Amino acid sequence: MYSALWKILPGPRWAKIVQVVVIAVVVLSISVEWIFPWAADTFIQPEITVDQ
Amino acid sequence: MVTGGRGVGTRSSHALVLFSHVDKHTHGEQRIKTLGTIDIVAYRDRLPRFREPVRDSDNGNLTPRDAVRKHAKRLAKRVTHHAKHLAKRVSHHASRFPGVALSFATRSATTISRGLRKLPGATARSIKRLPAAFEDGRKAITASARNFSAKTVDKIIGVVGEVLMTAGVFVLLFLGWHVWYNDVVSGIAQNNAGSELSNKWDNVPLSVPEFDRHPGDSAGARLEPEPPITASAELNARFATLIVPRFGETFERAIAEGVDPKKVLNVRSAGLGHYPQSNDLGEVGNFAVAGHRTTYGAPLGNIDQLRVGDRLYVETEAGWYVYRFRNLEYVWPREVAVIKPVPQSNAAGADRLLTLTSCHPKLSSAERVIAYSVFETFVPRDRGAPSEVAAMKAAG
Repeated sequence: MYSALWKILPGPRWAKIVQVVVIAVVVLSISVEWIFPWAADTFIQPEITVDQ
Repeated sequence: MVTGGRGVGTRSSHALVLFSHVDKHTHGEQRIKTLGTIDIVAYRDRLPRFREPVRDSDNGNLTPRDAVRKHAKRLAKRVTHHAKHLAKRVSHHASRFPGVALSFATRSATTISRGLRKLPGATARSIKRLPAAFEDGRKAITASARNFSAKTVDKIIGVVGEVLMTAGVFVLLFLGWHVWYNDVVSGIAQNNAGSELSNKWDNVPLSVPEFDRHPGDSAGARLEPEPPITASAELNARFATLIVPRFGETFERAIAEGVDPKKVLNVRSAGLGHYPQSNDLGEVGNFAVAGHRTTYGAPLGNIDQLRVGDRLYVETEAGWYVYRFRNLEYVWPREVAVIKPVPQSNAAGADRLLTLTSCHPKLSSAERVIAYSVFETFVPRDRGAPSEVAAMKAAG
C-alpha cells in the first residue's frame, strides 16, 4: 500500500519525501481538528457526575 | 482486468495466433492483444524450389530432395527459435494473466505440431522440438502462475498488515491526543475563557485588608454575612468562574449551568458545570459543581491536593464568593446524596456549601471524589478582588 503510494508520487526522491511530509502533516491536522474530537464525542463518554 | 481470452487459435488455415486475450480496462475499453504469430505458410513459401543439384559447402553437391530437406530443417530451427521467443513472452505475461497463459501453453504445442506438419521437409525430430520449446514455456508459465498466486497472497497479507499497523498508529495517536494534547490545549483554553469572562465584569483589583488579615483562619472575616444569590443561568450558559490558588497561579475556569458533557464539561469555553438540581450560588444549601479529573482540560485534576483551609473563590458579576475547603469524600458514582443541601442527609441545613465532584481514580470512573468547602464570606466587586485573586490575575 505504502510502496504503491510512493510510486504514485511524482518527482525525484527528495520531492517525494517533501510530499510525504506534507501529506502526513495534513492528515495529522485533519485528525486532530476534526476526526479525533468526533471520535471522542462518539466513542468515549466518560461518566464523571454523581447523577448518572 | 482480464475478462476473457483465448490461448491459441488459427487466424487462417496456416497462421497460428499464439496468444491473445481480451483486456478490459478501467474505462470499459476492450482490446484484443496479440503477442505473436507463426505463419507456417510464410515459412513454407521461403523454401526454394530446387530443380537441380545444389552445391553445398559441407556435403558437396546435394540433390534437390536433400537441399529441400536441409532448408526445411533450417526453417524448422528458426520456427523453433521463434516459438521459444514467443513462449518467453507468454511466460512474462503469465505473471499478469496466468489463467490465459496456461490455457495457451496447454493448447499451443498440439496446434503448432499440426501446423508444422504443413511445412514441407519438416522432420519428425523438428516437429517434436517445437512442442518441447513450448513445454519449456509452459513450465515457465506454470511457475509464474504459482509465483503469481503466492505473490498475490503476499500482497494481500501485506496490505492488510499495513492497514492494521496504520490503524494501530492512529489509535495510539488518538489516545495521545485524548489523554495529553487535548487535555493541555483544553486546559489553556478553559483558563483563557475563564479570564475573559472575569474581565467582562469590570474587575477592580484591590485587596481587602481586613479579609486577608486572617489567612488560614477557617472562621475568616465576614464582610457580607448575607451574600447575594446568583440565580441559575440558562442551561449551558456560563455565569461564574472558579478560582483555586491551590490548583495553580492561572487556574480560573468558567462554570456553566448544567452538566451535559458535550455542551459544558468537554468544551473549551467552560469545563465546569453546576448541577441544576443543587442550590443556587449564595443560597443556603449546596452549590454543587462537576468537572473532569483527567482529559478535557482536567479542571479538577488536582482536587485531591486540596488542604483544609484552602480558599476557593467563585467569581460572578456581583463579586467573589469565598469558600474554605473542609474535607474530601470518596463515594460510588450513584451517590446523588452528596449534592443535597446537607450532603448524605435529608436535613435542612443552615450552611452554604460548595461541593466539587469528579472521577476517582484518575483515568477511571469507578468512583467519585467529592470536595466539600464551606462558605466564608462574600466580597462585593466594588470592594475589589481579594489579594490572592488579585495576585493571580496580575500574574496571569
